[in-house]
Amino acid sequence: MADRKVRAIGLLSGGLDSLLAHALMRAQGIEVRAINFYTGFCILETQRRLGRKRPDGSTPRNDALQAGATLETEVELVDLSGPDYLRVVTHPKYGYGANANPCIDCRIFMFSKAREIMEQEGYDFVFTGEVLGQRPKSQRRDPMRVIDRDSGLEGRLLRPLSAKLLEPTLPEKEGLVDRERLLDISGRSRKPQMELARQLGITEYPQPAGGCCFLTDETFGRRFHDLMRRKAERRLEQEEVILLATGRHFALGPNAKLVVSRNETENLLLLQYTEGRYALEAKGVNGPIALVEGEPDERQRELASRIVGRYGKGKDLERVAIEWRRGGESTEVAVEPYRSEAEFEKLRI
Amino acid sequence: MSELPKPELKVDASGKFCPVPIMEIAKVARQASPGQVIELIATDPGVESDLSAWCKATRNEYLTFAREGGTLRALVRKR
Ligand code: SF4
Repeated sequence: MADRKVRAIGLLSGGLDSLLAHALMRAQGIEVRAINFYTGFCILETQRRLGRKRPDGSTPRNDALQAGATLETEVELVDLSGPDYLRVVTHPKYGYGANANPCIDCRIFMFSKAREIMEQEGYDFVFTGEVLGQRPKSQRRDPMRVIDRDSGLEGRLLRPLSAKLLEPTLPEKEGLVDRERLLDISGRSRKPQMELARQLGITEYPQPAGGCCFLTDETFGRRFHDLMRRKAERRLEQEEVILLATGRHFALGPNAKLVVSRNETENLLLLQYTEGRYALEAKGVNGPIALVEGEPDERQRELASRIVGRYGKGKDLERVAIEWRRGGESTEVAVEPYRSEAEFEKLRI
Repeated sequence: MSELPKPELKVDASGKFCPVPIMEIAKVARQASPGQVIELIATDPGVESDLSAWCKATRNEYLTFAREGGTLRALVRKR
């Protein structure tokens, strides 16, 4: 083994696999710098912002920070949520998974960032908690090779949990890492990992939450692709990401879209994004805030007003006045609220 | 009750969504000297659990946490 301090960058998602990878590397005496990439598409952060609880009533926690607490290691949160990452989302070279998830390109982007830090600060290699065959697209052998190559990390990206099933990496060949102490886990079962956690005394780790990235979410994906079709230029802004994850969405037509809040917290959130959009609200009765993007015609204004009326306290009234505000101007549309959601369900995005 | 120390450094992350407040305090803490007290002001409710996990991970001392309306104020002493 090396007669100097070996230093590695570990990408820590906060899930059990990444915790184990860190523990395995540290057990080999390797100095680990734990990094977590924040993409801005985190479901958990949005849920917390909207005050949502877990099924057991507790508040969702940031898994990467919790993992840092468990490992007693500082986890450096690196913000990737800017325009460069958004461009990866709108223009993935390797396409999308089942929804709006460009997982291969996303990983290439993250691993390239890790490589930059590795090179700038003299680390020996990068490792992840990835397990061969665990995810349908990005964690198979061929995509892994593509990711390694395109991120510039070929040979310097170690996956300690599956390493014995993969070609030896440079740190293994150079004697910086003892390959014999790496593992040969593959597939979707979590049993080997749970057993390893028990052996290593790791008792606190998150249960798989069934998707933590909005890009893999079916509803979000549908809204994202709909938005891309609506735009003249394939571009995504950060505030659009927040809006795609908020409220109920309805297509009023090819040039106009309605977003209706579902609760008080979403009301406050939508009110932050009124610039350049119509803000709708029922007059004289409590109800949701809604936003309309685009230039609706008269029929679409009525449609939107009837939907907004349906979600307010005036839903059973004969008529409700909906106020439309934009840029200091205000008009009113008086409508009969829809009597049931089924009447406009086909507009839902 | 003992008096709370006066913060020497301040991070105002009001209006910023998690995990940005933690990124900001981490940046200030990296430059701070041991023993310095940092005040974090934030509005995202997720800060409460994030800050306690971050303090545990970094071994910085989590001194207090208080809410005033929608504003959260915490004091942390750098180790
Ligand atoms: S699920 Fe896919 S797109 Fe989302 S963060 Fe992970 S790799 Fe990236």
